[in-house]
Amino acid sequence: MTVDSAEFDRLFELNKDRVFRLIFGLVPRQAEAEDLTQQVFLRAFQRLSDFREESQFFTWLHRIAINLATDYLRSAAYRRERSLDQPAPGREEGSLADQMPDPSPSQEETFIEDERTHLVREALARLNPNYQEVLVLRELLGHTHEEIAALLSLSMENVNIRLIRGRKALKKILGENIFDL
Amino acid sequence: MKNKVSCTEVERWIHADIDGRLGSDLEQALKTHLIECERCRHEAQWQKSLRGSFTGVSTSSARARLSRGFSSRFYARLEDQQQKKVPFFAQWGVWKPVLAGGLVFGSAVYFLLPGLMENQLTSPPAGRTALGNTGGDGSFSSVVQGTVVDAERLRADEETRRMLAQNL
Repeated sequence: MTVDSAEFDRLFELNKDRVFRLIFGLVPRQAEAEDLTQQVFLRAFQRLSDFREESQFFTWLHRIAINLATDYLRSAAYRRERSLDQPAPGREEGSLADQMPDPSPSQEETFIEDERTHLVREALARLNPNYQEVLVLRELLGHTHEEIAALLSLSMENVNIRLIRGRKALKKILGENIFDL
Repeated sequence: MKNKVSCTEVERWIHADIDGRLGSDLEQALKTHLIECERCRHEAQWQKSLRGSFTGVSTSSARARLSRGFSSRFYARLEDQQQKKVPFFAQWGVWKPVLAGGLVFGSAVYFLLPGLMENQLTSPPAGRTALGNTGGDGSFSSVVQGTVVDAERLRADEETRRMLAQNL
C-alpha cells in the first residue's frame, strides 16, 4: 500500500500530537515546537510516495522529528533565544517584589533544576543518533522496550544495549557531578 | 567481603532496575552488591537522577498541547508550499527529455560519425572502389577487371616516367 494524499490527512491527525510532544520534550517552547512539528509533516508530505507501509511512515516521522529538534538545539537561534529568556538567579526583572532578595532556596532550586534539564536536553542532542532515538522513545515518550524494538525493527537485546550505551554516553557528556548540587 | 558477581553484570542490573525489568530474584542481589560496592552505588544513584531529569522533561512534554488552529495553519502552509512555483527551467521534468535527447544524439555522433567520415574520405567516385575501377556494378569479376585495368595504367605511367628520365 502506498500512502496517498487522503491517507496522509489521516496519518497527520493520528500523529500530530505525538510528534509535537516528542519535539516539545527536546525544544520546550510552544511556537518553536509547533513550527518544527509542521516542518516534520511538510517533509513527510513531500516524500509520500516513498512510504509503502504505515509502520515505515511512523518510523520515519520519529526520526525526522528527532533530527529536526536536535538540529534546532544545536543551532545558534536556540542558544540566542535561551540566553535571552533564561536570566541568572537574582537578576530577574519584573515587579519590585520580584527584585527583592528571596531568602527561600526554592527559586534557586527551581533554577538549578531547569538548568539541569536544559543540559540533559543539550547532551541528548549531541548523542549518536542510534542512542538518541531509543532514549527519546524510552524516556520522553515512555515507550516500552518491546514497542521500541517493533518501531525501529531492532531486537530486544539491541534496544537494551543502545539504552545502556546511550545513558553511559550521556554520563560522559554531563559529567559525574551534575546531580551533586 | 564483596559479592562474586562482577560490576559489569551489576551495571546491566542497574539499568534493568531503572526500566522496571529486573526480576525479583536479582533485586536482592543488586541491593546486596550496592551496599558493598561504592562505585556501583554511585552509578546507580547517577542513573536514577538522570531518570528523574527525564521524568521532568517528559512530564512537561506530556502536558504540552498543540495550540488551537494548528491543523489549519499547517494546511495553509502546505498549500503555500505547493503553490510556490518552481521556475520553468529549474524543473527536472523539463531537463529530463532534453538530457535524454542530447545523450542519444551525442552517442550517435560519437559512434557513427567517424565511420561515416572514413567512408566519405575513402570512397571513390561512382563506378570506382578502393580496389579500383569496378566497371560500375561492383561484382567480383568487375572488381578483378578493374584491378587489371589499374595495373596496366600504373605500368604505362612507370614507362612514361622512365622515358622522360632517359630523354632528360
